[in-house]
Amino acid sequence: MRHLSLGLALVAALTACAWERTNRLGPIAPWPPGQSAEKAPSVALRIFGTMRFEGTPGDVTPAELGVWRDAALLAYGESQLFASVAPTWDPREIVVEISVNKSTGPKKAIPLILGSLLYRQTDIEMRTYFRRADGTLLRRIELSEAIRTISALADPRRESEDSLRAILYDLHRATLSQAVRAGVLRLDAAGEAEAEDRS
Amino acid sequence: MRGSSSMASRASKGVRAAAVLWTAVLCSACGVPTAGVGFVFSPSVEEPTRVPRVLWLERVRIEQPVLPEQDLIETAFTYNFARVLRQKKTFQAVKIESGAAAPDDWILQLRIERSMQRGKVPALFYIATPLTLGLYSALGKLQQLDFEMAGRFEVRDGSGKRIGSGEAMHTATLDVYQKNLTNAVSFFLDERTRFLDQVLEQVLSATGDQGS
Repeated sequence: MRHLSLGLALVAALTACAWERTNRLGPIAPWPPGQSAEKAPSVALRIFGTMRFEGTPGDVTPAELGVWRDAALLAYGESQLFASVAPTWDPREIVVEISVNKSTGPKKAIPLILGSLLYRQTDIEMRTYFRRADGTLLRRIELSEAIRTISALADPRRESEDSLRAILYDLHRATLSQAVRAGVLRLDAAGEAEAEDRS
Repeated sequence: MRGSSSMASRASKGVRAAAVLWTAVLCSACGVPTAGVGFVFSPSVEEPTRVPRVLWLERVRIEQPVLPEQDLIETAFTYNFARVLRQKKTFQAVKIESGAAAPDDWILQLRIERSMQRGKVPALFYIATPLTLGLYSALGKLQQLDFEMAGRFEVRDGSGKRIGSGEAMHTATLDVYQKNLTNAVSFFLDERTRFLDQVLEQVLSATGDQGS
């Protein structure tokens, strides 16, 4: 029985996945970014995006979309920049359109003395469009980060939900920090509108 | 050397495609559809602008099936639909419902009334594969993929006057064999794009020459 438990523990250790990130974002400080606006605006979040696995486009599942939404709600809620945050189509003072494009690359191997470690890199690109309620584009912010999911034996086909949540959360935080620095979230100051793109 | 590397690459693609199909087979065996209603579409071919108007896209409603996270899925469907329309460049600009449309602009409302994407493994697969020691899986039909999407649309101008309305429906079936595994991977995405092409064609036909 003891040998069986040890064996199972060994198999679990070998097939478990670890993850590391590429740290393209750098430190995000201060957080919450803080904004001394007299009246904080309400915000509507609209989340969409695409997924690719080894170059082949695939469906974004409801579960995946749920993770994207939860990460956005957490970061936007914690930022203390908004009077209310909701993933809704109802009109709000600011509409934030968040496009997440996730692309998982091919399996690669890191050679070791005995065997090799397998890993895949998932690149996550986030484009955020801040708009006024009338649809005018205030600012477009584009950031990206990548996760490497590593495993000794099993094929690391997808990143863990925890790693995805953590990276999306940080991407939102970095986006909001940039938006605050650019002054696009102040309702009083009529922020300059950006030119619309067609991509 | 080059030959062997290309063979290795082909073999690796085959293994990958087989893994994807096997997952689909397992899902089907458990009664799980191989894809959700979906909202990602294949890249479409760009065409010159045919209608010199701004098209506003209202949030697409998906009536059947009722899905978990329906709001999120409808939002994502709408934005990805807009992306496809922008790539096609049929209209001068495509905007999502936010802000006010000018009287000359058009507003498109699309309701998906039926959406079905599923994979079925034929009973013969389960019988013939063990009997032929796996040979059937190399030569016989592995799975049948079915796609159906139907919807209704209405186009209004910025003042609320109805310009046109209509329906679009697209169905397709693919019998999956070892030799066409690659097609199976992109089947649902391609068919969804074809459905949207149909919607666009129907919109243009229903609105006649009022576009120019």
